[in-house]
Amino acid sequence: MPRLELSHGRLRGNTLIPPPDGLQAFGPTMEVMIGLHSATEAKRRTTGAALPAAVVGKAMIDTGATVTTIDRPAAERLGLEPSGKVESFGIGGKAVGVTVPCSVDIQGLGVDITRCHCHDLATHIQDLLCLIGRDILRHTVFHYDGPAGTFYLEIRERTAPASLKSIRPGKGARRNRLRRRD
Amino acid sequence: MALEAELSFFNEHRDAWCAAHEGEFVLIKGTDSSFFRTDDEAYRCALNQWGEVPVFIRQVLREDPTEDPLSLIYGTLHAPP
Repeated sequence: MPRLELSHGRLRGNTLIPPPDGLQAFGPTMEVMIGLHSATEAKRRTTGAALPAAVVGKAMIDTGATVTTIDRPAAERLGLEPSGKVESFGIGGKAVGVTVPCSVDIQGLGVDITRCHCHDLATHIQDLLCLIGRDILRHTVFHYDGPAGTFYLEIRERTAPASLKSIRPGKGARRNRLRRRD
Repeated sequence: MALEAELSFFNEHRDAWCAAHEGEFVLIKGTDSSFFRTDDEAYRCALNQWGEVPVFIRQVLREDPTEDPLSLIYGTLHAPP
């Protein structure tokens, strides 16, 4: 089973923050690519419509989130049409937002999400592209080691239902400090 | 605003649909509705039928689950220590 292990030594300015502090300060983050849902991509290929490049950025695992959320500007850049309408709660009160179909490529492991929420994530954390919610985590083992400042994410393919599409090889470049175990 | 009519249509028919389709996913375009086992199936059907256009897909439930990331709402996603 694919497993991604990451440690979080971080730089703040020129100072190296050791992994336990880095993980607490910055959270379990990783690089992801947000792209077209595989069905959308297939449709665009048959119609000759534009196939935009995937949007690459930072994602944070958020065990407090029921569903995965992507940054709204990224959805606009990909030209994603809404797949639903939802009422959301924000600091300013109730608001209505949309969901979009997309794919989330977690360091080589691609997952289709038919109804991914959109929010202005980057206004909360600079360069935040995605919050990985429990809709993806339900198919993973997420191990968080606070004292070591490491975490890993292992995807259990057998539990992935059809609605989350099959786990498929990702398309982007990988960071060399990740260790991937199959 | 996109999908306002579909959202209203969903809310108007929710109770009736729960009687027969609770747990299924409804696909609404205008006032056309159809039901699927998964949202992925609904989306693929919508793509085949209408192409890439705004559509409304929602699970038929008596009450909408809370799906908001609380850390965003309460500002704890990156709170100062």
